Amino acid sequence: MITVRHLNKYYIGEDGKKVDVLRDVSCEISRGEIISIIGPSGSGKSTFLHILNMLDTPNSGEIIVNGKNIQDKGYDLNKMREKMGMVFQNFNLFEHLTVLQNVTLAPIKLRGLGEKQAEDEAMEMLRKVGMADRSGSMPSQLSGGQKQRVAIARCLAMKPDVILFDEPTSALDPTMIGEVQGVIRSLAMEKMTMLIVTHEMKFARDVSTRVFFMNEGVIYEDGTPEQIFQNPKRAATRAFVHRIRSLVFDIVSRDFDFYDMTTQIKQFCIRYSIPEKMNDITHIVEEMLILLSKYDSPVLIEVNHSEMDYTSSVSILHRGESVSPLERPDADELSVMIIRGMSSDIKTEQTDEGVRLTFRI
Amino acid sequence: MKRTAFLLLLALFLVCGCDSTSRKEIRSEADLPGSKIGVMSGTIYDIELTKRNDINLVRFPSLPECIVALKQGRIDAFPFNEITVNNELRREHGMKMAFRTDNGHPVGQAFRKDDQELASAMTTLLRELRATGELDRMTDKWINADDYSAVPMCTDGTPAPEGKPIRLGISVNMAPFAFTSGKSWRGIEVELLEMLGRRLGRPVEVKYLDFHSMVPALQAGSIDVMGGCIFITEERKKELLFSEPYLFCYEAYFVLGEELPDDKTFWSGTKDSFNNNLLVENRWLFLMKGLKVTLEITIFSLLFGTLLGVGLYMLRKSKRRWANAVATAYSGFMRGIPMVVLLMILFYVIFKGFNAVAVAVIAFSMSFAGFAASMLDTSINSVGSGQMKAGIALGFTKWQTFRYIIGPQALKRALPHFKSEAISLVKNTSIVGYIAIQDLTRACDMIRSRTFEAFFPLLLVTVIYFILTWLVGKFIEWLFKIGMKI
Repeated sequence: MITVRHLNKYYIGEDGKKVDVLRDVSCEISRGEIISIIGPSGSGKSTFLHILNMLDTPNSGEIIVNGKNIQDKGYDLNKMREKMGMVFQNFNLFEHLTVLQNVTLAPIKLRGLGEKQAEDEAMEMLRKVGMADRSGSMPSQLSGGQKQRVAIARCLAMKPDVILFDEPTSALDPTMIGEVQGVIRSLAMEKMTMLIVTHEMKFARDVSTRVFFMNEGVIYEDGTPEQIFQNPKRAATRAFVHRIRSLVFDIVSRDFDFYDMTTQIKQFCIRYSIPEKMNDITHIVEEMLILLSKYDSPVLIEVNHSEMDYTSSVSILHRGESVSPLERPDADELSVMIIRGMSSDIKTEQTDEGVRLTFRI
Repeated sequence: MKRTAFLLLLALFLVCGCDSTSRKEIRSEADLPGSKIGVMSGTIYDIELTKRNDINLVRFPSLPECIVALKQGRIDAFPFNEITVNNELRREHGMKMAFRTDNGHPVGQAFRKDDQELASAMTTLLRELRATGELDRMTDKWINADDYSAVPMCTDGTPAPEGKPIRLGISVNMAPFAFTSGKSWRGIEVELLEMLGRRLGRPVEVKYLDFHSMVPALQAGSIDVMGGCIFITEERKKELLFSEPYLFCYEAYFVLGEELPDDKTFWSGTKDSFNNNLLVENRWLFLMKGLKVTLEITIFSLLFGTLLGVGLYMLRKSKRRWANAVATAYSGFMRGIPMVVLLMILFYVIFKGFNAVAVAVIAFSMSFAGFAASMLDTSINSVGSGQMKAGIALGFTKWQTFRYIIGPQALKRALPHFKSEAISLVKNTSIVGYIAIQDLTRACDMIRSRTFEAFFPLLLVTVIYFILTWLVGKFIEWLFKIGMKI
């Protein structure tokens, strides 16, 4: 139904540097698929969606809809958009029209329906999203969730082949997210083709037939919800779906600001509500640094915390070394004892960069 | 609260300060030092008295203001030529001549430097009249008249020729030089020109304009003769071409005479003012004509200004760099130039010889366009790009989105700003007097310069402007309502 080939999008920043938004994105979307697009902010999810119906133009690449290149001269983009609905984060209802008029405007003007027929169809769509009793209200009288449901009805009134959802629940109060997700779920039951950019992981997992994980302007991983959420193949996907937060220090000299590092670790623990782990983490880092201070090799420290399963770890990479500092014959026995006492699980790995110790907290 | 009270006190103090100054009695030249003397700015008296530093000089734009100031006690005396401050004026305003000076000036009519033909024709006429003694009889008849409107002109009763009119510019509507009587202009200068016109086969047209715009108007060719008691001086001869003088005028100082018996009640006073300012000589006709001109300028400027504003907005929003540059330059220029200056530049420099009302419409349209463009910009922006996107995403074209979604909302938001700016426009048109247009304000000036009343004519135009702005506001609201329905 939609084929995307080698899509590139960039803009020139204020400093004159090129900033990539999408890099060589290709994919194939078939009728009946419900695709959730997840990924960190700034990964190009929304831009990708906007480019699909040409609200934003790519710098290069092709978009083929039903066998036709939509960037061809003479291609009727407006006709295509009639069949490709879009639901926005900020609803974008027409503020000067009633709920009913919001839904009937496009069918009357674009599909050439008579007023009566358009209103009948609109009421049907409004009933579908549960907003029929508010058909006479003005958008300003509605709550966010209600507005978004009207926006979905407005989309449906054009009888689209596919609907693009651009973060449909991001601007909503937590209490209203459910009603909008419910409407989208019911559309999923009807096998409506949909692309949904979302931050709601559970919803994406339940509703979709396929998930795109986007990262740094590419579709980093593409698979079924089971694959993406349970067995992601790539580390960045795992870090994202497990919602892993990290803090990294690259220590190359003895002049490193040690106090600033402990402050940052404390702030990290407070931000992700793990103050009880603050002491363990700082102690391990401190003791390890004391232990490592004998050697001149640089050290890379990573503090990780998963908001998904609530596990934390500290990983310390001793660059260019092959022997674990805990097992060296000249290691300070007291430090080694303290460190072993603080972590239940210590993993030692030999990597190309050096030896890595991972402490589970 | 404190600040308001302070300001009120200050205002009161200033008002009282003006009124309570004691008047100095002036009987001769020797009394002048230390006194407050009023002059018309730019006149010969202004130039001469400015050289003295023992006099408090107060400058006024025209004679009526001088007389009103004298009556209100803001000045002790004012110098003027003894002929202009005629019998009628002295009688009506209780003024008397304090003393006559030894200075005087020959009075003539000024022509454009390159208009030798008209100037020498006038000189020839004057020489012939002088030779037969007719000139003396004429000046005598005008200067010593009691009722100026009743003085016959020797061209009365003969039909005016049809040809290119000789346009006489005057800045004071004043007997016995040139004054309105009913619909026609009379006076010694008008009579002289009518005689000249009969000879040359040209009718005479009188234009009433600001004293300071007379010279530029003459040089730009929108008047042919500058009259209304113009003194011939060496300095002016450098710029202008004069006919032979037809009169010699002595300067005199005028002061308030004995108090006028104030036997008028409020109502009879108002009734007299009403009569004097509106009914006598059909003076209300000036107001009607002025009102028509003000309305014309306002409506057309609104129309063309809005259209031009839409164009400017499109330039501003264009993807082409040069178009943006043009729009920015235009807005910057319009922001930086005072309206009066723009008006004068257009009239006296760029559109020389164009119809003045057309030039005013151009000037006000230009200024209104700048406003209309930014109003469009803000009101369209305030609707937000989200709804534009939503419209496009539904399959509407850009124009359809504007037509059905953005436009109606922008219109509603623009209404209050558009209305207040249109009302400002009505009021701003009052400066068109600078380019010899007789609008409502100028009509009021004309009446004032005949009746020398400060209060009634000003109150009258205030009321007229008030009603006018209210009507324009309603009109705009109505237009928007119609626009919203379409």
